[in-house]
Amino acid sequence: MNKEITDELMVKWVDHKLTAAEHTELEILLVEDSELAGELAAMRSVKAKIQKEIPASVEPPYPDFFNNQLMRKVTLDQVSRLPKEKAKRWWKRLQWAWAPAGAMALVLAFLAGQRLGQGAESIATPVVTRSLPSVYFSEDSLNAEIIPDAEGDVSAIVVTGLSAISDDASFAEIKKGELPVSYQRDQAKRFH
Amino acid sequence: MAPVGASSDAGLSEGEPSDHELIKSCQSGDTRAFETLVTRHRGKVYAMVQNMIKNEADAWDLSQEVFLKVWKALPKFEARAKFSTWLYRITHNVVYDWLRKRKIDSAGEFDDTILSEGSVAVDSMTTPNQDLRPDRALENSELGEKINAAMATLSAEHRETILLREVQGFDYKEIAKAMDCSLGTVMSRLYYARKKLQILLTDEQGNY
Repeated sequence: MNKEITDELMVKWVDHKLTAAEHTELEILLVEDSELAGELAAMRSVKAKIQKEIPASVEPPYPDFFNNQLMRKVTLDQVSRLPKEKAKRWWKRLQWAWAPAGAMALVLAFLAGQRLGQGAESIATPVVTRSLPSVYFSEDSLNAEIIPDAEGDVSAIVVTGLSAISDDASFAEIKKGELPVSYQRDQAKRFH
Repeated sequence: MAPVGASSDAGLSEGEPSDHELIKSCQSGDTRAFETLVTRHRGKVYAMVQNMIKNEADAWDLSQEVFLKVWKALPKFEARAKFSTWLYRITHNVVYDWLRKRKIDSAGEFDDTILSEGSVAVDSMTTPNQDLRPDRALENSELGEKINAAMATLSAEHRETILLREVQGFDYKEIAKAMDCSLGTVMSRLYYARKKLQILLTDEQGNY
């Protein structure tokens, strides 16, 4: 016999759930297997022991506190759900207006687009006012004068207060990072 | 053993509302009806969770989670379903989520279950000073200890099947619904679990 069927018959026998036909089937198995009866009796005994030893219901420790804590959570859940439900109801109530409102929005968008297209030519070019830049020097003796052009852009920057470069200065001889001796002397005079 | 704390529809005294009546009230937002429902079923849920995870503090928290989920799902509960089966289905999900999470959390770490109170005698000096409850007295009996030890060797699925059948008295179909499995699976789990328990609980002289 199929093992699954045998297992099922044994489970049902332990639970007193066998039908008459199943009982007959099991009888045949019992004749064939002499150890089966003992196994079945043992299983039934184990079932009885478990039922005797393991309680079906055990109050949780501090049952009143259990209820209080739970009901507090339930109240919090109710409060958190309220606004959502209201919004849902309000939204649902206006469901009939969704389609006409959408159509209206499309028409308005179309008209607004047309008007903007017509009026685009008449819109004047905005006047852009430019502010002149500031020039900063690390030395107080230097000044800069900024000369704007007709459009307000910078056309020239005149720097005053620079020391003169002596005639004997030869720029070809200046190494990288080195200035003419006369220039360095002039600079020393100015600052000491 | 008779249930300690809770009663079901079958054991209701006259005038007490049935589970379905309470559920109807709950569905219209009556929190008092829900509290009555909780008081009626908390013992069974707590016992089930405690027998599954063997940790009192976590069982307390998980039982709270079960009832909170019940409250949230109550609007969807259909009257034709059996409340206790539905309740155990939620309990099953909460316990398995917890077991799964715990397995992930403890992967590669020291297994602290060896320090759980299940491995310490409940009346030992190290346990909190609380009056010994009748179920605890049973746990400390020799047979109770043997049964607990044998049950602990079963997989969660086999242990739950045994608890639902032998302790809670569910029929095969109810077990299949609560555990979301086929009837065939229930039968094979019951057979396997009973066979294993029978072997473990048989003493050297062959007595059961």
